[in-house]
Amino acid sequence: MPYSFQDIIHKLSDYWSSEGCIILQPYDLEVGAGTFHPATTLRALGKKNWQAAYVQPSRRPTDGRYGENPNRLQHFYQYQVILKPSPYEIQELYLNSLRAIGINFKNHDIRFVEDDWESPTLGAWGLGWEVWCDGMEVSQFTYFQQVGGIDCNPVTGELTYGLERIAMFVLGVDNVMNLPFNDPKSLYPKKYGDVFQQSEREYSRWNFDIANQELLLHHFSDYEKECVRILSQPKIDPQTGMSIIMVQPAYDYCIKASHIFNLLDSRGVISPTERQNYISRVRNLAKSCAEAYIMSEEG
Amino acid sequence: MSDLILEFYSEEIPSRMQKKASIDLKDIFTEGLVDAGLDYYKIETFVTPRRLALIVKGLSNSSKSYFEEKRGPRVGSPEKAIEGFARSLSIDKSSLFIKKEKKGDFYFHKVHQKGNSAKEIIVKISTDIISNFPWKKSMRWGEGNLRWVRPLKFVYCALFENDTSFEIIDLRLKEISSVNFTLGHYMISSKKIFPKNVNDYLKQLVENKVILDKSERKKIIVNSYKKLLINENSCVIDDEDLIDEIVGLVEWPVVFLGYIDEEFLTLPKEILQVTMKEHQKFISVINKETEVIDKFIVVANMLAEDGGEAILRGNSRVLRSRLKDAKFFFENDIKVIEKKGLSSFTNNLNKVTFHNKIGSQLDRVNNIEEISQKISKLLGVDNSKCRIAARLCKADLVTQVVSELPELQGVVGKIYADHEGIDHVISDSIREHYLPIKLNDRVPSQSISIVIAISDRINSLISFWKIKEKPTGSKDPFALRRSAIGLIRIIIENKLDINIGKLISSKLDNRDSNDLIKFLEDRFRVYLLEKDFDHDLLESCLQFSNLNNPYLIYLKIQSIKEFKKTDEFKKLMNSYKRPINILNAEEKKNNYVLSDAPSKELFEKNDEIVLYKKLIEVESEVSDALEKHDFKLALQSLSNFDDEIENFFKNVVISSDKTNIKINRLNLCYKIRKLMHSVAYFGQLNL
Repeated sequence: MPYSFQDIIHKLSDYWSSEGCIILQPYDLEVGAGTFHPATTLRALGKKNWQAAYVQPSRRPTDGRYGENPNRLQHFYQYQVILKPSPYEIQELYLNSLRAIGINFKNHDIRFVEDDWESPTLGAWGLGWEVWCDGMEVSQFTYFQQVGGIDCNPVTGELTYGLERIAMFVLGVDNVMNLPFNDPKSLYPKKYGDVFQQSEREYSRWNFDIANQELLLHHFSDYEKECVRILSQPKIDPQTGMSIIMVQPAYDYCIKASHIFNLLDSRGVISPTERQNYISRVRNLAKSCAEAYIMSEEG
Repeated sequence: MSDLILEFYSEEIPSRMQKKASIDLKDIFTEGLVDAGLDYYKIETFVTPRRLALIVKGLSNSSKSYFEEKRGPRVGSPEKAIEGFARSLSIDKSSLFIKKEKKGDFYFHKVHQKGNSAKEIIVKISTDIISNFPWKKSMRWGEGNLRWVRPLKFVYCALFENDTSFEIIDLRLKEISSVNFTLGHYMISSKKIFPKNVNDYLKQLVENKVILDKSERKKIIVNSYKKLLINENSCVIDDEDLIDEIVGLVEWPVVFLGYIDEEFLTLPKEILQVTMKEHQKFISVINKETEVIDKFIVVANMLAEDGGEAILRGNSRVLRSRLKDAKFFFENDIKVIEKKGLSSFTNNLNKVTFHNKIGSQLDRVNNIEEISQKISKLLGVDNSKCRIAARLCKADLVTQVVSELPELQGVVGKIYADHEGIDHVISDSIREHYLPIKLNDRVPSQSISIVIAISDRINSLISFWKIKEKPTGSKDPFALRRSAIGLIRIIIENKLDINIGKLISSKLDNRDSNDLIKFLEDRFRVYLLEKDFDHDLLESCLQFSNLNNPYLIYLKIQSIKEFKKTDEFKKLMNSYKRPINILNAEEKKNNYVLSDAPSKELFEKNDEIVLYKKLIEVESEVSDALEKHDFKLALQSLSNFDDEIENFFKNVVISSDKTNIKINRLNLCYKIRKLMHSVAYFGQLNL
């Protein structure tokens, strides 16, 4: 049995590593979900196989509750597994990963409940389920059908674990802030709240009331422009004479624009009509990146 | 004779798609067998979360043989073509025969087609099903291009001749394998099953914790919770949809009873019920004595070693955190209600889009309000109350509870309005104006609710027609068909004399308004057909007419239906047919300009005058009757001049050397037709 939040992360990584995945590190930009990591979005495109797992810190400014809600956070962790092509026995692999973090199926009720996934900002969708353990949603399970408006072939299987939630379930804790972050018997035991309580409070205030709207609006259009500019460069790099399509730098700006949009949303400055408009602007960037990726070496 | 088992074993099929899948499988397979001419005794289909299965009993071993005539080239074609045809059938030219067809004479050859074996036919139907099954939403997986609702793991297909001999049918599929076994419950008993016959298949499935038949799973669930509730003085809140959904989530249902924490019992019933249903698929249990929802039923798909302790504990914990959220939202809303009232929420509706091209929910409310003022006037309902109701009817959309649980729209608004002490007829309308939602829902019956319900629907229809967002084919994202049928039901079932056609045409340009009225008319037809009115009745009253006042049309159709059973109806039809037939024939032949005003001076015979005088009488009777909406009386009047008609046709010949005399007689017929058609198009009726 795992005894801490970090132990669960280790056990998941050990398990997926033993199943042949590369264990990546989080992407170094602010994102709303593990799906935004280029290891998912971009790698789901093209023909090459790809097996990877990683933790991704995720930010959802509107979900901030000043660290007072037992379940909701504006910053949390997702554990993301990407298997391309989705293997025949992917459900069994997934169930074994739950065993690896100490869920004993003999006494628990696992359910795959329909949940179609769609990301309007990424122009992506897939079919799959929420996975329930005794009525608690512990993972999202998706077969990608399209990313950036492009058909996925082969199809990628994506498993996303809500780490805090699954840890609360496994460790039997009712408030996220009380999760043991490391081993309670270790020399310096710390809880989740010791690490994040204060920053949750700080970000909640900033997200909702302080973030500079003018600045954010500027950033949004700057990032949008830069993304388009990067992709409009000629393929051949005059410096080296090589063909270099700069997909990932461009995609970085797409991610940044997406995060800025989330911040603007939590500041409540985007009207409903504008909202659709912003979403479609980000989607256009994502589509351009996806199309460029297909044209690049890795695609 | 043999029995067939066909099982498609897949990852979890969404519950809501299961019923249709099992019906489709049955239909497609039946059609396949019938087309192939393969006899059978009985077909049944089954569905669980992980399998879609079919059992055919008493299947013939092969389809019957038959002769087929193959057509070759036309007689007189180049010799080469004729020889080529013979060669393609590996026969001599001399064994061809000539047969006359519409397009000329052709060479033919009679081919004896042997029947196909059951196996061949099954392979064909099954492979066809795998590649073309009509899932509403399907997907690809892995590296393949096959589509199924979720990844299809394998297909088990076996033909049993008798209890001892059977054959596994290899479906020869590229992307998935057809295997000689199926599996038990994948969490409890996932071992391979090798059935010996159909009964053995069902038996072994049960032994391995799979109940194939969904109605049996349902029975188990219902019986189990009844047993659990025996000493609880409680009963479940009936919810067929929920139970059906749960049945589609389990292969082996195990039922538990849980208790809701004391601190949540003060939440409104509806909030408890919907939270449990939508988020957790729990069935609510209500205490008969206190009438409070204080327990829940949860159905697991697992036979746990600890007897389900952990499962129930886990589920209760999730529920607790859900209810904590719900309570938090409810209390926040109530604070606002107590301080500023429900109407304060209406102002926030400008932040919520109704539709990009239409505007915000506040714009929508303003429109509903405006239309409600017209409707309340037309129906004689207190218009200031309607105004208040219209302004409040969507207020709850921006409450925290509805943001979290959208299916509680209307319900929460009413709860808050009652909390605030708003007039009951108004608070009721916040909930009732959404009715009917489902096919068999009741319609609102209180006057304020009716006005708001009609205004809301007319506004939606008009708004979407304005921006050309009409339902097409199976696409109806804004549920406008439902709005239309709801509108019609509200009007008819409340017997409302209201001209919606006029209202619509005042709000849309000509083309859109005609189109919308046509759309409503189509919904109205569906409604009438369901109410057992035949097509001919519909045609007699809806053809060429605008659906202005649905209730009056309904009354008329009803009267005609009754009237059709009487002898008077025959008289009416006699008086209708003869003049109309002559008129139709003459109109085809000649280009006379006719009118409904025959001139008295031009009548030559007494019977013409008598008929004319009678017509004037009947005309005024009919118009009085129509005025009073007394369609029965109108019909009776129209059946009252058959004697005069009889004599007219006996003693008067329409044709005359003098054209003006003839036209005058035709004008008399024209007058009759116009009078008749002012009530209905009797020519459409079947006798």
